Amino acid sequence: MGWQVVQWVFFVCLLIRMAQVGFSGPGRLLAWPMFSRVSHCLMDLRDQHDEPINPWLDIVHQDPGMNGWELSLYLTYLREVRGLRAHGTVTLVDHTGRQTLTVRDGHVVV
Amino acid sequence: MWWFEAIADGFRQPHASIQVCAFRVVLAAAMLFKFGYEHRRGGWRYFAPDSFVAYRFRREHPDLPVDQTRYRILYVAKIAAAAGLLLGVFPRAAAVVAGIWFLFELTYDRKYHTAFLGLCSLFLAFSPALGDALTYRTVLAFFESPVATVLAQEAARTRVDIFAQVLLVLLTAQMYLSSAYRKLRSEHFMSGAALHDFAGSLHRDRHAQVYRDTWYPPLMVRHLIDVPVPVARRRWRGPAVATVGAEFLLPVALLVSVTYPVAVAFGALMHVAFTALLPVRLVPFSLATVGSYLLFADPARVMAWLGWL
Repeated sequence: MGWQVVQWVFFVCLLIRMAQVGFSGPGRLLAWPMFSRVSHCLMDLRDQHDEPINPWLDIVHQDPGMNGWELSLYLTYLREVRGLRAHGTVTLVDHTGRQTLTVRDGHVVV
Repeated sequence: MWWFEAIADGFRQPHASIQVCAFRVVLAAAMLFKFGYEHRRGGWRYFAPDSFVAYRFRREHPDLPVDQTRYRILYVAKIAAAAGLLLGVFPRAAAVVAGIWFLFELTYDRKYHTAFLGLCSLFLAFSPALGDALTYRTVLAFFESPVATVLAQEAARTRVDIFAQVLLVLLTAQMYLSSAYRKLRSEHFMSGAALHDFAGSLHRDRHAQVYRDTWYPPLMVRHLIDVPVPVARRRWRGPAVATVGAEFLLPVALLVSVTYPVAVAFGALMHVAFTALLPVRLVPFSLATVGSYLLFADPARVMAWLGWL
């Protein structure tokens, strides 16, 4: 009987959480907006020695979906950890459209 | 519908153990596939001190004390858990360990398929039937008795606590409904732009990918990717609308006995299409989701069918 009460409580809490998170708000667990907010970061970057930088070597594979904050974090990582000061262009593709950014000396400048 | 009756009866309904055990095997296979391809793509080194993954993790979760050593302990534990789940060795504990791994994985790699596999694993741990059928003991028994006899014995095993199955059906149904609702509200998706951006970006980056995971046939590239944006979006709109419709209908169609076989075939076809967009990463998700269709089947009918066999 005690176990059944636990099951009922868990079930009701889960139902409420599923209704809350599943259909509104940005929640992670139990929210499933797959493909409805697609974002990609197309990078064309080189380091200070003019060697190409391939982000696919650093990211979790198949995870090019960076936003502006993550791009900035990646450039900081390249500077702080790898000692690389990137330059080139980055195209952010998301629900707002395409935005091309210029990167100079390891920072986004436009 | 059996699902509502099971809830009304306080999650007590006779069911064949082999039904949930078959899903256990599919889920474990999905996990092992995922762990295998991630390992090949450098998963073991994700938390190396100079890696971007570890750098981002430390920035986002400064309070979580996970370094390379602890990461690798968890890494070995996840593989042991998936193997345990597949073979039915301490399956409930294995399901909990795998579930905890997936929750951890979400802290450094947020993916919806990871969340789905993790929740499936944790909910599966509620089932007392996990070790009743399709385990390493089944394989050992094949050496002593005919395969049909062994499977018939396991198919005859029943349990009454159906809580885990109720939860897993609810999870898949909520996942489809939530996904359909959010897609419907997304102009980016409904216009066809999201699918075009997604396929187009991966196609554009195809040569930069160290491990080639996506490949689109030339016919698809000519007609759906390398075309003017308005044309491409118009062509992707049909599949986008069809996906939303299918995701809204599938949960109900899977629960109704009459439409169940058609829903299974249609759902499987839909997941084949999803997987074609992202062939490697979506295989585990598609396996787990289509595998969960096993749990939508009316337990009474499954028992009757197994008895008839």
